[in-house]
Amino acid sequence: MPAIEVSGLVKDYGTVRAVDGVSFAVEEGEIFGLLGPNGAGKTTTMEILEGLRRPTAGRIQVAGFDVVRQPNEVKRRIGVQLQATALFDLLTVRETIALYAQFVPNPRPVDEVLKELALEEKASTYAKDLSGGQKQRLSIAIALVNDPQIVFLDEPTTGLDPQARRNLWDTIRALKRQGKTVVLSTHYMDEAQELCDRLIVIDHGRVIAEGSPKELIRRHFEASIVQFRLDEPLDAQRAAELGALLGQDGPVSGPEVSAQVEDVPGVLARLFTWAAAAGVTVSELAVRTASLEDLFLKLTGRSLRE
Amino acid sequence: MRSWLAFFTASFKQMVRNRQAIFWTLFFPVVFMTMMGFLGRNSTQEVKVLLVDLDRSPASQQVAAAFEHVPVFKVTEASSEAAARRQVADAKADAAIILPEGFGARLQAALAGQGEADLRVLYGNANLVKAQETRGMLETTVEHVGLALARRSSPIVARSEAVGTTATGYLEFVVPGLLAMMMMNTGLFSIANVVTRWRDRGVLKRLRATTVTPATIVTAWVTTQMVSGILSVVLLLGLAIGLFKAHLTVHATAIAAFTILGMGVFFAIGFFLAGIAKDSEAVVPLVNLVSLPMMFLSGVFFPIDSLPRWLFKIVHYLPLSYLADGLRSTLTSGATLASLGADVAALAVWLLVAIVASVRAFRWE
Repeated sequence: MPAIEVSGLVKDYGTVRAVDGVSFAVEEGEIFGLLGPNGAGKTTTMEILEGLRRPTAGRIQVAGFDVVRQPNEVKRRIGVQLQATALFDLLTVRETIALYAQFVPNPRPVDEVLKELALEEKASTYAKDLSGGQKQRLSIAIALVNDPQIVFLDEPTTGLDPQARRNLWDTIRALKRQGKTVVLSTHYMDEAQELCDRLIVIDHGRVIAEGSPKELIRRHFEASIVQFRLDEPLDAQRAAELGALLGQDGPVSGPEVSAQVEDVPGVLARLFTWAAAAGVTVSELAVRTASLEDLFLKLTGRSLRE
Repeated sequence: MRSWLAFFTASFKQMVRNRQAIFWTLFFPVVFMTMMGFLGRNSTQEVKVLLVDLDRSPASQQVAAAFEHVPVFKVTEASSEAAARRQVADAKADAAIILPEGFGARLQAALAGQGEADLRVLYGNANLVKAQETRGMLETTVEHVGLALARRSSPIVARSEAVGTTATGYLEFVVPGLLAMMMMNTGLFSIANVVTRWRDRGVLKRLRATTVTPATIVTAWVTTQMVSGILSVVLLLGLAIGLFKAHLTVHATAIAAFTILGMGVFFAIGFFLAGIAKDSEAVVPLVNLVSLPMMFLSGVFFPIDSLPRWLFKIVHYLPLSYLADGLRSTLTSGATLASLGADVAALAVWLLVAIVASVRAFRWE
């Protein structure tokens, strides 16, 4: 039985449809990603799964219970970390964890949770005096006091510095090792690629792709991506020549050039010959496999962070 | 119950740690009370005495001179008894001494063992504490003058009479008002500001992601603030009575009832304001809009019946007016809870209305 099953989820705010017929399933023990730009409907979807909002339509089963009819059964089995860190300023780290521990029937020992999230040294610090990364860790700590089967993390690394982000990724991988199911929303492509076993890409309240990061990229991109920079603009003839060389329909416009290429060695050889003959300088040349960023661009015609 | 206790304990810790909030709730009442307490005392150091000598005999002039020799008295002559009485009643003078016609002759007779000579003392009643001091000082002085004339028993007798309407001093008037004001501020600020801040930060939403009921959260937090309010009442009353010697009657049940009911009303209004305010910044002017007019118009600092009639008719219905009136009646006039039914009923109506309004306006995010 899947950990989460969502079918036909719709959420309207007045006349605005925030979530428009979303369906997906999350398997037990995987890290599942909701990927999409801000305002795509990720948070709304998550908060419906957590029992914080009522869906307009759709059927949602979390940990085997219907979220609308048995919200408390669901809440007992999940851990929730919201986008806002939602802490009490004047409670210490230990007191915050202890408070939430009192809200559940069989809480885990506070010290154990402190240790797991590497918060022991900060145990008697007020929440307001923690760094961004520490606040997020505390926020996850209180999501873990009830030893949940499923953990929801809503954009956990937004606003963190690179080091703190990597630390948090380790924490999330550790949850998976413990056999927990993790549902993670993010608008960072690298984060989704790095962490998620499977993911859905959401845009304008709809699922536009589903699968593992690798599978998704393989499905949509047979080729690698060749990208480089032109130091000077091309005239019309050269632009047409370069377009044909890279296998594109029309002329190429600079200065950033990016093309999907199947025969990488052949294309590169021809590119160098052509550039030398045409007297064009090609710089910052890179060949890479497609990323989720490219996928999003291909699917929506927009970049994720626009 | 376990969740309730946990949240109550956590709330209490946060409250105690929020020194700024405690400071601002208690700061103003204490400072104001201190000012009034010391002002009241300073003015007792000089006693303005009017002298009306209707006899104009050498004996009466001698007695009058005796008063002038007491440094604490500032003696001035007044033309008639009526004028003196008016000035004392208006608190322009603290007391008046009337030496009636024939005083000299009666004093002569008294010294010869025939009857006694009486003079009259009018003392101002505007300030209960001061009135007693003034009366005591005057009567003692009269007795000393008398004993200087005859060793065994004073031939002069002072007949004292209180003049003026208000039976209490300003300190006694303002302390119940300050208590009411403190309850209003604690009630409004501790709810409106805190709830909107929690809402802004997602704390309310986070709590809703647990199985704890909203009732648990609300009652535990309100109880914490109620405890803080009760402690503040005890502290302020202790200061007023213990340090500043305010003449107040403490009917514990009546005070407790008004504290709980009054704070309850302002908690509910606080929830309502939190509900209609956009966020924690928008709620501050909203709270001021509600609390400032009440602070000045609901009888905290001066009696509301001194307001223009039309204004009185409006402010009379404000919750703080009922709370201040109820507390004042019991503290200064010693009214028991049973006789304050009207104030209690009015506050109960306010409580009900405010609860309904706040439930309708409440938002989790």
